[in-house]
Amino acid sequence: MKSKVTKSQELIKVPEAGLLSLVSAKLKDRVLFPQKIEDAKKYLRKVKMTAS
Amino acid sequence: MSNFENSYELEEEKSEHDLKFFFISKGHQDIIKAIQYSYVQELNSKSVYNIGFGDYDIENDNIIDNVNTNNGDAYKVFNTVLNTIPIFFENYATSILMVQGSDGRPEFMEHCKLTCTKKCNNECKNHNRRINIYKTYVDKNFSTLSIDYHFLGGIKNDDEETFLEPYELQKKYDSVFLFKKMYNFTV
Repeated sequence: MKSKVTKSQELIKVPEAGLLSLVSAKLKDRVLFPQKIEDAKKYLRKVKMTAS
Repeated sequence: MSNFENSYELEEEKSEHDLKFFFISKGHQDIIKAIQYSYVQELNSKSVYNIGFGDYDIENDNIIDNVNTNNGDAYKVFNTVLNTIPIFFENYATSILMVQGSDGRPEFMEHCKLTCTKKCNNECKNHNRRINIYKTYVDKNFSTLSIDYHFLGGIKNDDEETFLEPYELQKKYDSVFLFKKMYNFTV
């Protein structure tokens, strides 16, 4: 009986600092938390200062 | 805000309108954490920035900010987030920082019920948990923090009006605003 041979993807080791640099470069121009910014805008729509 | 030693090393990325930080949380598993200070809007001629914090899922290339990771290193992660605040003010000295938890959204409780194992009755124990962690830290360290920063507490009512007031210890707020003491601010 022939068994199916599956080849896994090759893995490479990346130092942690290098990994974070790669992530940082990849996400450079991205808004990461768009929902939070929308929430913040809604929250500030009718803002009033009260004296304590 | 002092520099906490029990914290992770940060990767910093500054662009025109935001400031990002990345670090690896090394608890039960390695998780890439992302922090972003994003410009929201002007408020009485001062720029308001919001802090966002979540996990970066490298395989799916997306950010998750609505789950509690429970990676076993909460204090170290919290200290790391706190370490970025003075860096934020070094870059945006005249700005206001707004802190709100992603678990404070109205729809959070409905999502929480689907997976939560806590037996909450009327009030969801996870709702506003994140802002309460920040508030506890501010309450405990208020006298030291007040040397450099002004704090305001924010409360939103049912009519969608937000009231900002000078921060009072132990009071329930759904947001906290802070800015450097050298600048005055009135709404």
